Amino acid sequence: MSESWVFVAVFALIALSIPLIGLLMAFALRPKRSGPIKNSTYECGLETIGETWIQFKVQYYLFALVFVLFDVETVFLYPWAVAYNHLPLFALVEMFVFLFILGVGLVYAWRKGALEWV
Amino acid sequence: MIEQGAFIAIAAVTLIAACAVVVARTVFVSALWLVLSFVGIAGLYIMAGAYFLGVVQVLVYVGAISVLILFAVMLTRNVMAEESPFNRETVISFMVVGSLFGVLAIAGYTADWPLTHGAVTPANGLAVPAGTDLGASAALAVAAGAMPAADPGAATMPGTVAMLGRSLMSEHLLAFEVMSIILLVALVGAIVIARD
Amino acid sequence: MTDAWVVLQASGLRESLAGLLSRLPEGAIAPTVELLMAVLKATAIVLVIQLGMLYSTWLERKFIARIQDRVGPNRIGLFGLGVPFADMVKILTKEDITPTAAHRWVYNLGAVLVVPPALLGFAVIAFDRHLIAADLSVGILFFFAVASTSVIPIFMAGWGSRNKYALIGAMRAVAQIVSYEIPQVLSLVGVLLLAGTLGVNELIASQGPLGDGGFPGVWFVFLQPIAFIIFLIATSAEIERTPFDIPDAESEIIAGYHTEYSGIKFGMFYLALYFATIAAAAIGAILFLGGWQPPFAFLAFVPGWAWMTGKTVLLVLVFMWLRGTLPRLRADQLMAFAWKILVPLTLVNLLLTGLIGKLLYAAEQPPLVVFAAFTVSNAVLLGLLLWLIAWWRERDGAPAVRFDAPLAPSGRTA
Repeated sequence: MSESWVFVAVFALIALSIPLIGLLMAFALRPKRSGPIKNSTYECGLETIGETWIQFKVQYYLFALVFVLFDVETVFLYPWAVAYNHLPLFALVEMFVFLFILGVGLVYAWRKGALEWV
Repeated sequence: MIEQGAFIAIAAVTLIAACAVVVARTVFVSALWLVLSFVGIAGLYIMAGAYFLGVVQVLVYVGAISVLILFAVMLTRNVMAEESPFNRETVISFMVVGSLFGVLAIAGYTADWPLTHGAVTPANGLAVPAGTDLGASAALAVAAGAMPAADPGAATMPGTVAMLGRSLMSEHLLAFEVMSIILLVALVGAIVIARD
Repeated sequence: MTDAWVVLQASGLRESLAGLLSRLPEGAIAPTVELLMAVLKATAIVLVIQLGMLYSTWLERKFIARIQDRVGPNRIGLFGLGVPFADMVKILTKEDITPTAAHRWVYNLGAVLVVPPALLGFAVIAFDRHLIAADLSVGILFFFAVASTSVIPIFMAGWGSRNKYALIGAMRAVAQIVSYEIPQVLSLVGVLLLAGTLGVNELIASQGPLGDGGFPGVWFVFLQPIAFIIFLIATSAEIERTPFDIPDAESEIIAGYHTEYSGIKFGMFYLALYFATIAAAAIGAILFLGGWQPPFAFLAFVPGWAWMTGKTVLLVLVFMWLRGTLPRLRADQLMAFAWKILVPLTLVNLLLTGLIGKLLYAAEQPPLVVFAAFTVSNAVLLGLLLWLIAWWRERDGAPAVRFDAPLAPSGRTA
């Protein structure tokens, strides 16, 4: 292939091996004196209170959701932007309609408090 | 030869990850295996020459939808719980899944999939200069005579992403605008449900 | 001149490798040579970036120290230049305390997987016209796609630690990263409208003067300054640097998602942070500052990689400057800023740029007119940004700060 995706694959493997090499080096060099107190979960130096689960706030999910939507919008924006110089003026209007509809979505989310951080 | 090997490796990773999703004992770990299968699929797209799609797969699926799935997993009450993924309805589930797979496999094999030459011809208004990498399947189409080879004298320099943009704005404009409405509906629906 | 030298070296290397491997069967030589070249390129990049990263830690400590009116490290080596190595030794020899409750695989993999996304982005960075490892047709999008995968290891670290606070920290960090990713990628659309390509070398070339010219012929920062500012802000938040380091801050949630990591595994998060900073600076230099292009054609005798390095270092210093100067944003301010201010602003920028592009450029107005139009539109955007910030501050109920009035008994200023 004229594009160097092979390099990307090789680079990914090498990038993956860097932390592994680091871990190996550290494993060889560090002291290993573990104990029950050292190995317990850290909570400001106190004992763990309650089970290790947290009250999930739906806010996180809503942020991720709005993010997914705008990510998809970005995916449509990029080809439009790249092809822009080859497109007629009407393409701007088309994109404006697209963005307007999504803008309505953003405003809706805003008004309904989906963008508030609890 | 190398392409074959790479394809087998990537496909193997994807399939094994997909199986692991079902077999893992913790929901969170299942979700992580799913993310790996998304990465594998991106690799397959890239091998097929759909570079934009492969990169978008990583951006949207691994970067966004995985986050959504992981947050949703956190919604389950006992996040750290380990439970056996197996239940007792083996026969029925095998029949259902097996027939679904059979239908999909037969449909995928016998269907007449349109090839990329539909979007690549100079008649589209975008001349394709020599050296533009169109991917393995398009190269096959050229070799088979189904598609005119790249025109070395072409002046414009678009590339696949630009072609995608152009076709989005012309042939598939309706789908594009409807897409925004679908996204809006999804957003509104999710907010309504989540607020309850 | 430098370009020819580089290309010559590379082809000579290829031939000598092919010579070395001449014992292999005919069909296997070319692919193996390619693979070896790829491995060599990758190793070279990793070594250079690793060195850069080590010295960026030194730079950070010295630079921020000077901003805070102190000296910074100066004991180890001249001017403290040995500090990165001392840090490395410290991190490698620290005891690894793994909590017994941690989920071994997810906990360890989380630490290991933070580094690759930060490093992989360098595959598409052009250090010089011919010094780009992989000139993909979708280079820019590849960079941001890979960067966006960095949220998964963070989640893994938070969940795998089996620590309430680590988990909360991880979710907050992910929410922040994800919220700022949209302004980050949207701010580029203006640049893409001007450049008309996602490929890195083409993008740099369209910023002239050594390139093929094309419309702008100037660095995009002059045509899209607001987008540039938004890009810098959003990227700071993406890599979790102050003023956006709530998930990371020591006085806040202990150490957030890397509370339970010690020694080298903590070092991995640190490594990823600095790799990401350099990568972000590099991509910013490519997108807005013209990459390896010199500002004026007569300066072309200075090699491209020197320009690129200079611009990258400049942006890294800007990130460090922001860190040393600005106070941290509150968690709720953080999100509101991203969604309610930056995103609308980027959308307006995109539409204005599109408008100017079609109405003026396509109609082939003289460059000066187009340039003036861009200046006007950017002034409008700046006004919009300032107005939005003022509106938001008022809504937020921020008390007017007065440094001359004595503190009231309740501790609030008048």
